[in-house]
Amino acid sequence: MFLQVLYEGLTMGTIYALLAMGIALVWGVMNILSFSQGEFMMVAMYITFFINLATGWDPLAAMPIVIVTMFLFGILIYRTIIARALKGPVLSQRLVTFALGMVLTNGMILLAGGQTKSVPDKLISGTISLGSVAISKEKMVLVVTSIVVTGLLFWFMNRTKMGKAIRATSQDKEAAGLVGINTQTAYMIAFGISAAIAGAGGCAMTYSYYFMPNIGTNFMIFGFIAVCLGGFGSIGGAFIGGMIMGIIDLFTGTYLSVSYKYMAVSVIFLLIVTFKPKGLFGR
Amino acid sequence: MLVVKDLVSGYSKMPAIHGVSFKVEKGQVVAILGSNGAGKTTTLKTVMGVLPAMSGSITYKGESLIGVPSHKMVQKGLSMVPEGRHLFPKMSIYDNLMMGAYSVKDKGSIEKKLETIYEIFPILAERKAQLAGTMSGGEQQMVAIGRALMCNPELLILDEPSLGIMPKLVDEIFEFIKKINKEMGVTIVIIEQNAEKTLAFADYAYVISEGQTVIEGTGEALMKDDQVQKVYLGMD
Repeated sequence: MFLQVLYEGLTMGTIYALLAMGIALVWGVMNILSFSQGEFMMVAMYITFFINLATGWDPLAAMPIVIVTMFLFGILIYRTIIARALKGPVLSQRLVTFALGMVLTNGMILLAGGQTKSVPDKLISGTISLGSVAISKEKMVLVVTSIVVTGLLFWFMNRTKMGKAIRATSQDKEAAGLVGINTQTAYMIAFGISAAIAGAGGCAMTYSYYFMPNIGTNFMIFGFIAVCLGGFGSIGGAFIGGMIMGIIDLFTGTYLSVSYKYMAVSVIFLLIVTFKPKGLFGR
Repeated sequence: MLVVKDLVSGYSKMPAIHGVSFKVEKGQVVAILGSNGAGKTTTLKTVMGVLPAMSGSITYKGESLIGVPSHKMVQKGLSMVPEGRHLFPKMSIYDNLMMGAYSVKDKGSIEKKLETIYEIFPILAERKAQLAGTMSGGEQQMVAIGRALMCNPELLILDEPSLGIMPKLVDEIFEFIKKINKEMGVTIVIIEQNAEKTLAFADYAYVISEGQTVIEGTGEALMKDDQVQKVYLGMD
């Protein structure tokens, strides 16, 4: 039982981790609170769903397309909305993504209807039994995706020129401009990548989850608290924060009651804010 | 090389400087002096495109710099060491230096430049893996100067390089700046509050007061001028 819950918790954690890393990236670079991150994930689920509906492609086959589409979608959002909001007062900067999230949710209800959807006939399915633990292969897809995406993100941020430029911009924008980095481009790419991460996560989630247009909101709360736990702006911290949140989510849900899990999460949030406001790994 | 004329600029529509003019010839060390809040930093941030100019002209090698964004300046041959150093604190010294070469395409020249900088500042080679944020003020200043040199600038702007540095190290930093000018042939514009030390090696100097250029002259001449020293530079 314990191991089973641990596995489920880690699976859940990978979703929160993907969300949290996207939020941490955007916050760290441009001080925008990406409330729409969960909705980006939802949009990615529907893109996967529509690709599947139209062509019969498995989500895994559709994933590269979904990731690229979400990256471009992120860039579009940055150029049309975020770049403008950044010139405005702080309050609009904070709330713009909140409004965007609502538009995306309701837009999707308009487009696809409010009922739950799922992708049928997955390429990989079934379970592997390891003693008392039943490992769902569908969820394994999500775990592997999350690990690969996290690895790629770290590689990109630490090893590539653009990744280093984004880190430099997040650490000191003025100096980044002076050494020749176009900080506007760095912002735009960072936002696109954050949307692409949501793309990978959303696509992989269609393997084991039903979804509806308002699914993003539920994940968002956990995603944000995961970022607080890890420390705003620290991508590695966000990943660990997400995993911890997943484990807390499943353990309180299983051993106490599902109705306690939001309370557990909120209590943890209050504890962090009170005793470690910069998070476990915050600067 | 660089000609600034009647420059007006400032933060969010409130001009902090109104009518700064100065001229820099190739190979010179030009000092811009003045008390705290006189508008020295505003002037040079405007030259570098960090702040927008409200009126006046900035010409570099006959080409206007008005409206050129700051990330394009390094390609034109201008580089700046900002006040307070502005390093990337969570990157290593090596990465900080390499970021300085961000817009340099030729890999071979980057390696060569890095060696030159390690020669001038051997301590940077020893500590290249250390995070920039964990170093002392003097060491950080060396990284900041090194980083600004990585893009092979023709003109280097230094904003208060002696600020927040142990007095013992200040002389050393000034020696380095001389070396960069004489040996590497980089033209230098230096902003300083430390007027005495700066005038001692500047070819030409301008004094800014309340957002305007009030006096100019060779370093030696300003050094001897009692009026200048008392009224504008606060020296006894």
